Amino acid sequence: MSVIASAPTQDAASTRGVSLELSGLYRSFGPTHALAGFDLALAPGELVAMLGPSGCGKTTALRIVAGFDRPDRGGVSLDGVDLTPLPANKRDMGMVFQSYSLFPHLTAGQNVGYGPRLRKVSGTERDKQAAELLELVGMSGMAGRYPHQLSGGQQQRVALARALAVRPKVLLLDEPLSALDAKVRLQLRDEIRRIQQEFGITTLFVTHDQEEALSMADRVAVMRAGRLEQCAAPAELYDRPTTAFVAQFVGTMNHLPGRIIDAGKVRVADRELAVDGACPAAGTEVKVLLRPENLDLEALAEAPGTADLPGEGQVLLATFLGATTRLTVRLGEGPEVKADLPSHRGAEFPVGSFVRVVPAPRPVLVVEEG
Amino acid sequence: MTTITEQSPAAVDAPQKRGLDLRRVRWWRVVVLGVLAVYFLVPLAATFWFTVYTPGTHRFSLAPYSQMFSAPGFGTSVRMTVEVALLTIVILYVLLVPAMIAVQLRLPKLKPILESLAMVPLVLSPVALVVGVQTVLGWGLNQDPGTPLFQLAADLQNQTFPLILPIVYVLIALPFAYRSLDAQLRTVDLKTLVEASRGLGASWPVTIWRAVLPNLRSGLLSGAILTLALVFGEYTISSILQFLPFSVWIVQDGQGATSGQLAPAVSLLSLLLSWAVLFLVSFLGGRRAVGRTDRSS
Amino acid sequence: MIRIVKKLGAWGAVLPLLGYCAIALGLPVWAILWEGVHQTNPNTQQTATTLSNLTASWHGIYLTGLLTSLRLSLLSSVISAIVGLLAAYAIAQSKGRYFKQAVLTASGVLANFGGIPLAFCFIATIGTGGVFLSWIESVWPSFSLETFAGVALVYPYFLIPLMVLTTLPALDGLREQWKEASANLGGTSWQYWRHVGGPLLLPAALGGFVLCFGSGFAAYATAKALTSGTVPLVTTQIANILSGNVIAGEDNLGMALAFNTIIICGLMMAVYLPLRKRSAKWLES
Repeated sequence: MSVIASAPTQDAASTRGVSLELSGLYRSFGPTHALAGFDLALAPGELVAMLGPSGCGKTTALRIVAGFDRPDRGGVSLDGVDLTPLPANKRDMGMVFQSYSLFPHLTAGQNVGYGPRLRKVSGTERDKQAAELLELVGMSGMAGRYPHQLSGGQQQRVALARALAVRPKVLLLDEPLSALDAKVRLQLRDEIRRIQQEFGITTLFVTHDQEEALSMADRVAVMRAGRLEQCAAPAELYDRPTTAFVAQFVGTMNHLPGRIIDAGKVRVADRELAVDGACPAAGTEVKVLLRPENLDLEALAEAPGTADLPGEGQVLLATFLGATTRLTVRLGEGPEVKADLPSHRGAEFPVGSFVRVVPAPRPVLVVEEG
Repeated sequence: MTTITEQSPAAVDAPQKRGLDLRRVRWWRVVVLGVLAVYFLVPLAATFWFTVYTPGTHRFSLAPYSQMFSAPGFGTSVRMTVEVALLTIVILYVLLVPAMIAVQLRLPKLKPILESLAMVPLVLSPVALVVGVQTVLGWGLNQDPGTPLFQLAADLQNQTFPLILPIVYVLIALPFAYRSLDAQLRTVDLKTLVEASRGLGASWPVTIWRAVLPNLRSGLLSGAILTLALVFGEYTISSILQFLPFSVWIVQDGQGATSGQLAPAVSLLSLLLSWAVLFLVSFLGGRRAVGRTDRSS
Repeated sequence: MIRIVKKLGAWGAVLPLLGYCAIALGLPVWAILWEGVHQTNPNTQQTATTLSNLTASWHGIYLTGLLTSLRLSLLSSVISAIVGLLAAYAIAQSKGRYFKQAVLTASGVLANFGGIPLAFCFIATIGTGGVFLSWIESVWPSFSLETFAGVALVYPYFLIPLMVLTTLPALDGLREQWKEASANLGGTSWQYWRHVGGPLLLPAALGGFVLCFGSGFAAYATAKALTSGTVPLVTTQIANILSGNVIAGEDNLGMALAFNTIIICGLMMAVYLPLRKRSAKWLES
């Protein structure tokens, strides 16, 4: 569908990705430490999503890369070249803001042509490029529309085209989809990813939406309180979180009480499972991390008795999610756990029924108590 | 693969570098605002100095400020002015508030008309207006005495309480009251307020009185104070129509008493007072009256 | 009565205001327009439509008055518009909430502070016997508050606040994202103002300028108190005629002068309104 063939062939070299490195970034606003030693390295052509709760510093980091803010310490470099002395308008990056960034007095085509115009590209050439880019983002024929005549999703498409028009070395996206409807968000998500891959532009993407980060990015950098918790491919982040925060933040995670028995095994919910990674000493009380999809349920005939490491309990809540049903079970007097079952099986365990929790026989991650 | 551990952010060293951009912009702003501060504050300061220091006798005295109360005619003119001002405010709000609410809620197409109406008095010379008013009153007086029109024209020009003044002042004060109310209406979600109130069973008058007006308090008060200040300072119309409210009294009678220090003293006082009151009132609203787009982190 | 109001619905709330304006504003304006083009022959008591009033008002001292008024308004409004715009920008950029609020309320009060009080303040400062007169005279020997220059110095005192009040909403509406987007796309500060900020602000700035011009033109009391007639202005001339300093037979001349002012007011509004609409569309949504 796209006119990509004509776009980067001539400047294939200049639009092939560059590497981007953020090293040791510190930034405080008065008493608040937005960034407290943040490091991140992007390989050429990679899309890295910065994910984290609000206040974790992800937007601050992005703005520092763009040049709108200066770090107290640390720096940003592009292909090894330090960017710190360069002002924002000399950094050769394209940015898409969260909302309302299109110039209201210019049409879509003129907005896209703004960057080229500053670079003294001729009028006809500008219009041609703008038309190509608008078609690329699915806005063909809308060059004459003004921003107030466009929907939110359409505006963001134009904003993307505008950022691409200057053939940036790096693409920066500041929660571009947050202000949009769910359906539009999904659509645009795929399109942004597709375009980014076709152009091969190194991209830094800020979001607070997990699903977005996991589905779009080559790697996800989870941030908390101004620091990097873990940066890994989505699958690895999900299956093998390296910190408790990441484990809890990405997806849903259950914490079941367990105890280490010898040789890298842990006893939990009446089963013995292998421990993934380094294992604390035998006898240590730990919390075992289990994803809801790795928990199965068995019906119990009667109410469970008290147990040392309870694996039996009562169903509190059943949430129908379509293909799966999430059952919330209270184990004994203690923790609540969530188990995701295919809905036809989930129906076997109505609210109030007694069940036993069955962890899948895979190695698990543990975290020490306290 | 490392063990999972709890990590807490370590303490951070004190920040070292600051953005250069901030400094560049800041001094330019300081220069502009500084020059303006001089232009606006110096005359006020000089006026104050003028009113307390007499070069001939080299005396400092706050006399003008206390003398104004005892000058002849002060009381009557002030009272007349206050009455006129109050009536102006009442008429103004009775007309303006329902209209603005109705336009905001139901008739948004009329907004431009209302806005232009609120601009006209700023551009229309009060002198021209008073010419017209005088002419119209003259038409009334040209009728035979005893006819209702004659009586009306005569009543409007009653010396002790000229009704014509509030009628005209409502127009002059319209831009300022409109602006105050409009600024506040923008920050209030009128539609939701009204719907919530009506949904709970309140009739229109009750809704306006209990749900809407309390939220417009700050705008209403500022508008009232501006109108008060305006009426007190208004000279053109009242002098040409030959009535004697406060400002006219100052020019005519107040001058002789204390070598021309009384008039500036009063002017200064009224300015500072209305500013102080307005400033305090603007915080009554509770909401942010001035604001810029926030950015979340 | 209530039933009628109910039936009218929202219109019932707006009509009183519109009706009031129609009468209180419309009637005097109509009176001026009518009287301006009519003249009563004192002998025959007959009224005839005539343009003689108007033509007389465009000659001699009245023409001078008109031109001086226009010159005065132009000078003071140009100064006030530029300074006011810069001031509004400086204010819009400040972060302090109390500061902004204080300045905003001050503008509201000062825009209102024309007329006699203002004149007195300036007389006390640089008029005869004024505190700073000697300072000014050392720099500008022939200065006098009672001249054209003097009045032009005083007018910005209420015109600048008016400009600030009018343009501040537009400046507040200039989103930070636009500046950043422009920089990101390679634009310098100058380029931003030339291509984005300037065009966006132009309608509001022009509108403010027009408003200042109109207000300056319409002002009377300040000039009268400062100059007591030495500077010929339309407004003072009208007032003179009204208070009886008139040559016999020219009574409707005052009407004609007022007529001119109304026409100019109408022109101002005709220019101002479309500008305001455009600015609001871009910056206040």
